[in-house]
Amino acid sequence: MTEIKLSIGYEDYENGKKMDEALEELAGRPEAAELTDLIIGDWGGAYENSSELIVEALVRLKDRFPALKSLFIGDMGFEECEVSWIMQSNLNPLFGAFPDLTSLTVKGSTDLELGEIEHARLEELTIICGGLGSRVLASIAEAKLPALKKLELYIGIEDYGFDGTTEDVLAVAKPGLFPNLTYLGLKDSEIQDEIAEAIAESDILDRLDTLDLSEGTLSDAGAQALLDSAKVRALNVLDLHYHYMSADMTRRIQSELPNANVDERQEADVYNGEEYRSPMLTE
Amino acid sequence: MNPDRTIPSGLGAAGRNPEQAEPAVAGAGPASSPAWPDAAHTPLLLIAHAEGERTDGMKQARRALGLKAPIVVPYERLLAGVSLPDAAAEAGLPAGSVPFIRLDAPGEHFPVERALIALGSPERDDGDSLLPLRGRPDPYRLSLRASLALEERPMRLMHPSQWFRGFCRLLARIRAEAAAAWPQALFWNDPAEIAVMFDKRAAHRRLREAGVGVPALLAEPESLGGYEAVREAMAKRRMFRVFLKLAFGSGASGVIAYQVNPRTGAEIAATTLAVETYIQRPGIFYNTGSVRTLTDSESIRKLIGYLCGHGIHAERWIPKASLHGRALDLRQLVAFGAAGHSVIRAGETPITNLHLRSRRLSPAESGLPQETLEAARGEALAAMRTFPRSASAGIDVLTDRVSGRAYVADVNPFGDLLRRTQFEGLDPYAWENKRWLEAGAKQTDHAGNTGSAEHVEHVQHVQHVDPAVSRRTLHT
Repeated sequence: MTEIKLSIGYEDYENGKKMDEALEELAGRPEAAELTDLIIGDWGGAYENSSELIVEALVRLKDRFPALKSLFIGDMGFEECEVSWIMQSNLNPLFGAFPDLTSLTVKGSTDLELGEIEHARLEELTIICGGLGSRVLASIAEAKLPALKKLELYIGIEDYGFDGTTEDVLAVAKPGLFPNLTYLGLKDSEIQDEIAEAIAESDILDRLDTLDLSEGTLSDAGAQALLDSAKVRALNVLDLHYHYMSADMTRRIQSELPNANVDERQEADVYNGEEYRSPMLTE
Repeated sequence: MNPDRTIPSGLGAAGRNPEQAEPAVAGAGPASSPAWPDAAHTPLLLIAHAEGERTDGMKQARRALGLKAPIVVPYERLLAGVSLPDAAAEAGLPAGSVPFIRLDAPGEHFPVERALIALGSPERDDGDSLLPLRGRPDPYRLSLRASLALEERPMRLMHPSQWFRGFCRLLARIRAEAAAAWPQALFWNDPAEIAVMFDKRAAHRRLREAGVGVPALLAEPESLGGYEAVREAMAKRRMFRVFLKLAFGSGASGVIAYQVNPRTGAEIAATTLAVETYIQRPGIFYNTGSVRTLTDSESIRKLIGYLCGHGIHAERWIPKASLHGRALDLRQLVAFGAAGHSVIRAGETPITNLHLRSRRLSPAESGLPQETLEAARGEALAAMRTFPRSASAGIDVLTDRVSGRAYVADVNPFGDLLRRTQFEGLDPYAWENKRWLEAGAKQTDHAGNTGSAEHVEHVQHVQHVDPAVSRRTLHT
């Protein structure tokens, strides 16, 4: 396995260097043939330059990366660009260009589109963002990904682009949609309780190894629904880290659900008598 | 003209020849360093708080090395009107002896803070010979009486520009009184250089002109009159991510990590600075215990306006190297020409600072590659050389996450309080005193000829990092 991360530092960016050129350079090097993992980091001014040219370059250069299995587009931290400001684009052409890809990770959801997804070998799809749009959720809900084992979606908040409903979110977790799914993450959501309540009795849990509802605003209401579900008890791993459950409920979950991770308990901010809870990636 | 460079006639460095009184502009050559006095026989006069971690640390360090205890002159004595030679004599400086004079941090002591604000009041105007950017007025001025009536309010920012004006007046007084009493005396850190180090605008200018790596300036501080001017400068320079700093803040106090989205116009400010506003009187600005994220223009406008009023330094936000999603910066201690203790701070927010519960890491734990650490040390030494009449500083260095290039963010003249860290088996104060012993002895042997070889020698003592580990973790 060989992994390469490409980043355009701001010094290079100021000097006019572009990510698509960096990809051209990489494609011309002998190690391109063996490259299995490609991480596209900051491409410079990602708050105003989208990933469109990068997608075009990848599609154009696809034959130079015959071994590529894993692709990450937008691996950048808060020191480079706010996650909610990262400009993505239509990534649909990548599915056709890289039929052997097994893992795709995307960070940032502004202008993100996945279109009609059909891919025989993709096993992992992860979208890290401040708020996932309903169009992207709909694409995933209609996707043909027979090999998919892991689906991890940061649902996020309305301010950062989440414009869906609980039903829109649960549509990606229809039993039978991804027959090989073992890891389902519907996380970092401001409607984490509703998601927990809606999924607690779903038949999709029968096939899962891990349910990841972490990093959102989960409180006692959602936790109670999880406690009450025999399907949840049967999971190998229930990831609830970063949550807003009461100390009492946290203890109950710990004692009754030994499969659960309840680290990083948060306290709601109280302001003018109202409680405010925010998912992890939005603060 | 650079006001920060001007040394008024007659107030040159105590007793040295006129060539040495002029600060060197070039960052290179160590030749301009003064001949440090013989540490074994020169009394150390310590102007500091009578009690506290720093003073205790210095006492313990000297005891451990078998050196005489420092003679402590409390800031409060000087601010009460006692002259430096009188205060030194009453603290036990033997008559006829010429001390080596070290100033320590005047902060975290409310009566001293209040007295310095009072010293900065209009009634005490004296020309402000050591105030680096003395052309600009303070936003409003507190009279002597109003200053003395201030009451302690934890976390609150008490007129920072008038405080700095007062501090510079005290520095000038100390320098003049020292020169008159002990024409041969030297300072550990020269008062005029302390004033420049402490003013981020003047320090940035000095470092930049000497070719030391610093984050690019957003705009000259004189042009940043308020929020609109900051926004305009950002748009004009296409510099959409900046650090805005109170020119004379310490630690995270008065720092705003500010970014504007050129596409949407949205803005985000991460800061500890906060304001309580009133209809009838000026707002009260204070530091919160944690970094908050603000997105509403009105709040951001007030905070930036405050910085601009008192004195703002605005520079590019360098994307810092990170470890497990935490941004890293590095505090490098430099003393008597050598680099010593390094402490790396890892923060969950862009503002990495010891006071904000950031995690501390050793260079090895940080995963930063050896060449990055060496570049940081090199840049810290270069920064220190632009202050040729000062022996030590804690220098904050940022390393670019992609290129690994080092940028100096801050030169802290009192930045040697680094807890629970050792270098060559010594805590920072002990190591500094040992460096002084060596530097003083060397100069006695070689008639003031300070070679640069000692820099190289000490760089080689640093801890080694497994390069494989560094590569793996640098960008995670």
